[in-house]
Amino acid sequence: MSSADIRDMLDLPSQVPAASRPPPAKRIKTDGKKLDGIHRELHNLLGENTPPVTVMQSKFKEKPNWMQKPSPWVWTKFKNPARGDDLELYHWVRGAPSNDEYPFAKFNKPVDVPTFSKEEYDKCLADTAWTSRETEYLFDLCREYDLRWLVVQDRYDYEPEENEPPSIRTLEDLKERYYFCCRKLMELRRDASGADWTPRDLELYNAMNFNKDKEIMRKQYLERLLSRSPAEIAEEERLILEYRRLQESSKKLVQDREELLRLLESPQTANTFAQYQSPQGLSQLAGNILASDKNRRRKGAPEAAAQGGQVARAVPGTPNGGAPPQAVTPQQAVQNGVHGTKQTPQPGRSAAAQAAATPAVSKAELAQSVTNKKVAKRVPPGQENLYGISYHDKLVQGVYLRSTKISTLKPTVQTKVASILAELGIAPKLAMPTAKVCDRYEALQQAINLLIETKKQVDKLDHEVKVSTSGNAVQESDA
Amino acid sequence: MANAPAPAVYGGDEISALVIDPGSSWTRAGFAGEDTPKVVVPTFYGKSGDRIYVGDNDLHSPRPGMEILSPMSDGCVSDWDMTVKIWDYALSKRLYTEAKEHPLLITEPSWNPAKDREKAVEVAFEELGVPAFYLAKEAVCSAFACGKPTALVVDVGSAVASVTPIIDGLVLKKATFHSEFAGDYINSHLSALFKSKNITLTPHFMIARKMPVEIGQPPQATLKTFDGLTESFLEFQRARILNEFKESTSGVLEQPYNEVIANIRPARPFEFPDGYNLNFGADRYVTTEPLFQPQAYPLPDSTVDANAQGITELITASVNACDVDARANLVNNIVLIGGTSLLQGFTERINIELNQAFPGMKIRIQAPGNSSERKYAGWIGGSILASLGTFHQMWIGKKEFEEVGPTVVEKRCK
Repeated sequence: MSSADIRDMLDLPSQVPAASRPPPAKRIKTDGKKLDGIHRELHNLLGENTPPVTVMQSKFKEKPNWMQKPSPWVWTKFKNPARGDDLELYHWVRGAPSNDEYPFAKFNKPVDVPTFSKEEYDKCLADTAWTSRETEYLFDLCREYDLRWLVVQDRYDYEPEENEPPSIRTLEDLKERYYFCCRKLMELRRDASGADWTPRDLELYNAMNFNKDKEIMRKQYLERLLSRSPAEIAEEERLILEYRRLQESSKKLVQDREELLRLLESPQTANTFAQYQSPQGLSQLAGNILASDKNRRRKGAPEAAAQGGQVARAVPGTPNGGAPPQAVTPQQAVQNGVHGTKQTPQPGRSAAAQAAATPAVSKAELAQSVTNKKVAKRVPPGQENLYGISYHDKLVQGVYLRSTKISTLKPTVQTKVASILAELGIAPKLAMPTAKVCDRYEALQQAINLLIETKKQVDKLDHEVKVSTSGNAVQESDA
Repeated sequence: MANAPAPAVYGGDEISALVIDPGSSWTRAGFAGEDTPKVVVPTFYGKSGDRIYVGDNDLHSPRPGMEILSPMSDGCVSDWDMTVKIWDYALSKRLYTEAKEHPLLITEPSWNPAKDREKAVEVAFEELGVPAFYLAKEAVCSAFACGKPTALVVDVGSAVASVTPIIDGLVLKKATFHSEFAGDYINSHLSALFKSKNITLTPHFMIARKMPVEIGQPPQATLKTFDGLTESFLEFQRARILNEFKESTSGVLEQPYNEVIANIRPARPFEFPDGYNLNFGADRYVTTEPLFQPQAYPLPDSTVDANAQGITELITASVNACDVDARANLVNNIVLIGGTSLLQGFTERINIELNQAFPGMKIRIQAPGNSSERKYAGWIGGSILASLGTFHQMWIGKKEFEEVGPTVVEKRCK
């Protein structure tokens, strides 16, 4: 139902002129071409999509058209403008011979080697080690061999005149002379013309700055590199591998150390105490402690024990800050009281809590009395076993097997631990998992774990010592 | 009718040039643009009084008093009159073509002296009457045949083993070395070996009839008799047996010769033309060893020069004579060609020895797998060169030769 229909029913005038109404949906047109092997209905379903590509294979090669006129090829002569003379060679050309330039002539590209006059030579190119004739000979060779220096040096066979010293030129000598002359000529010509350097010229000028000593040194290095003996190459590869390994392990070491430091470092009080000096601040702090304590409990006892000190330290900080004793809120006092009772095995913590709690006034007495009651009910120490009593921080709901509570280690470590246990003749499954056995078992597992860790570290250090001593030995033998 | 390939891609422009590659034992000739030489004739001529014989048929016919001689020495042409006769025979009698109508490209070894080069131009223009001529370095052509402008060409042929460094299609002359320790030298070792085993080499043409015999049994063959055959002719015919032995039986150990290892390898039988046959074990390998260690394996009753170098030493010397910048590139582009390089195990041996000689460099040897590409690499490269559109500016024209004289070759053919 369209809006037009609703308008029609409600006798509303139609807003849209009839002309602008969307035209009725077009019928899908199918091209009249009939396709083989597809029903018309099926073909119509394809709509306006193009039909999938069908591979048409003609069975035979196309019959050659013998009657076709062969394309005309003419044996025709041509001149190559890249040549100095007018030698005429013949080749086959398709169609009528044209007078176009020979297509391969454009590849004849000589290298631009500067020339110099006698005056220019005398003015700036004179050199005691070189004569003008030899310089010219060098430039000619460079032109002839397109600055292929290896070839130039190979073909360099200058016959000095009688009064000239015999010339023995290395490749570097030739290059230095050539580039020196080129630079001087550029300078001279620029000075003569008075024009500024174009960026291209400047680039060229800088590129021709040839440092002979550096080049000789580079070649010496290269020669040494290429003439290494197989033993040296093997040694080098070994060192590279060792270096990679060390790098890897040092990265790991740094990571480990950082982690350790993070653990060792007590959480620092980044903020000042000032914010806790007001009653509101204190109550907020108490709330925070309560919340974090709850979290910790949930996480498990050992962690709580480790962090107990933190609370202990943080709390006495407040009275030191000069807050009046009354400032301890009842809430906090109750909380402290609970600490005191529940965590009696942790003297540091409970003492601190007590210290904080003692200043608390009458409102905290309720909590205090609860604690006292619990203490009174306690069986004298050493007799828990006798009565089969044990204390728990937290009891899990429901029934469970004690053996399932034995903590498991990482699978990799677990297998190692298991193998050591097997060595000791202890079955991986406890036959009689009493509380005591479970405790001892757990302690044993921890000890083994520690042992494995220590062994690993010792091995690592041992290896490093070995590597560094062998490295020293190699160095000594080299020296 | 296919369209002509685009010149930019293919770069070819056929001017129907002829290419001749004269080697120490075979001369190859054919049209540029083809992939194998159409004509391969022995580079030998027979001389009987005033008559000169060239071509397979005449050379191998037993004629009284006919001496078989070679116009080549040290890889270069030494007897030009006879060389022209052989070339002319190859072109007119075998290729059925006229040298006057086609530009001619001839290959030469890299150590060809200037005098011979000038002579080659003179011969081409004045005796063969070609319209254009070019003298290409054989090693450069071989590198082109393998598609490399920069390469270290190791060519172990019949008379000469050579090592030529090539940079951008130009030979480094000062670092080019060659020696005589190639195929013919192995032949002398083989004949010494057969002599020591009291095996007489009876050439094929002398056998009238033969009976199969067991291994090691004396031959039962009826021989034809000829009068007045010269020793050089018999030698030439015996060399064919030796070549056959080399091609079918000889090999190279992958490591320096060691009798124990050579004896472990399976022996191969060889039957001589007269039916006598024998299994060859370590002898297959010991005769090829002089290619690598000429001093350790001299011919009996003779000594080898103390400076003589095996093929690996030649390669090492050549590489070390080049500038240090070029070495890595050269060693990475070694082109191994020549008929003797087809010996079984030859490539592996060179590869192993070079890896020991240059432990710090990456060695790559390109040895065409096809035996005709190996034997005719120089010709194939010449064929490629002479059909390139960009090459046609390099030809020495007849007019140019008349104006400048034979010294034009030094300027043009670098």
